[in-house]
Amino acid sequence: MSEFKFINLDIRNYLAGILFLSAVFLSLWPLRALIIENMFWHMDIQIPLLIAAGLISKIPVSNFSQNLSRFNAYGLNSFIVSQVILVFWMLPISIDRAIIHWGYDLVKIISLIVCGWLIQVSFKRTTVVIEIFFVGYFLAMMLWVGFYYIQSDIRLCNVYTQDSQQYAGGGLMVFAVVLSLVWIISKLYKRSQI
Amino acid sequence: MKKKLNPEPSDLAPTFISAICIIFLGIFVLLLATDFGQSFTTEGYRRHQIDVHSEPVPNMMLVDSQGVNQNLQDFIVQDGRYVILDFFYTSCKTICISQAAIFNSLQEKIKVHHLEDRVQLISVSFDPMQDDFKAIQQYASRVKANPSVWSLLTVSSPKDLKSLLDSFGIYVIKVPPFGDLDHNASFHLIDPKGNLIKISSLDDVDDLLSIVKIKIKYE
Repeated sequence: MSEFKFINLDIRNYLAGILFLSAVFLSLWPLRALIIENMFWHMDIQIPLLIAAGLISKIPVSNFSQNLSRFNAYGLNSFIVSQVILVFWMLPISIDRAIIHWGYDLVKIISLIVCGWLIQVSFKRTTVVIEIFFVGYFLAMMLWVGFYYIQSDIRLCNVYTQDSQQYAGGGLMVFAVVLSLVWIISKLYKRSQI
Repeated sequence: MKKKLNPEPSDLAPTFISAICIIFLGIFVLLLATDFGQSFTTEGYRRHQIDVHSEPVPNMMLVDSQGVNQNLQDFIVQDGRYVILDFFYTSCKTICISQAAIFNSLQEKIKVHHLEDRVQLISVSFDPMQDDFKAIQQYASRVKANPSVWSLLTVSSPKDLKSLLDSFGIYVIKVPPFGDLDHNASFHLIDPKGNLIKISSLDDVDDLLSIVKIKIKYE
């Protein structure tokens, strides 16, 4: 039993490591050209990879995190922090800054990994109502931002062309729809298990 | 054994108190990033910064269409007129063409309002590898620039380019596959002392002219 658990832990962190490294390589030469030239690679590939890496990583429970959980009933605070991080990286100005200053890029990588991990923490503790509030709000925002990027007739990011901006917006909308379906189906599936 | 994750309702106080703190902190971070809700784009941020604090134009050598070296700051201060400045490159097929058309009509408006001795237009090329003074000379005749109102300049040494563009908030990108240049288009209003006082979008160029008119009225 314990052996099985050990392997399970290993595989999840192994996978998270692969996602993390592929996201980090997108920030380094020569693959950095992809996220510099193409907003789709930045917003719809690198950022989700970072969040996913945090989301599936398995961090051992420590005394410290046990004590901290007193401040995180129903995963409320981990949800709020992750939401702030997600909103921050949806701003066109933040996307620009991550391309122009390497310091922002580093902050992006760390904050999005943390964001993914916090969502994981929240999902473990939360109730359906709180989950619907945060996840529903986020998916609606993502759909709206994607639509805004598509229909805007001005360039919102100085570092990308307008074509690139529209592709990225389309990608966000597709993402929002797919995630909504995955989320609803997984909820229904869990319900049918009970 | 499954561990109980959620506390009793009476234990919720620490969570709620910290939630309020985190919400305020989060809003503060988002406000800092957006210049207190003023600007969600880099362009908007730069415009707002200039609205609040004007900045002197860089002290930098440029070449005019006669091949003469000019220091940008001296050029503006010695001339003593307000300046509306934009950036272009001669082989541009998209946004520079509409910028040139706007400058052209602005040139007419300046004449109609008899502002020739109060306002001048400057276009600066940011493609020094291609655009020497001969190239911008040809471009000037193509866009029908009247030399008494509209001067065209180009960067004299490519190593100055980045700091010039940075000081005006212009970001030039190479677009694959052919490496065409793309850039954010804006017009920059500079006062006769050589301070950048306003950045506007292409649609709002008439605002710049009315700002100049108001400034002249109160001089």
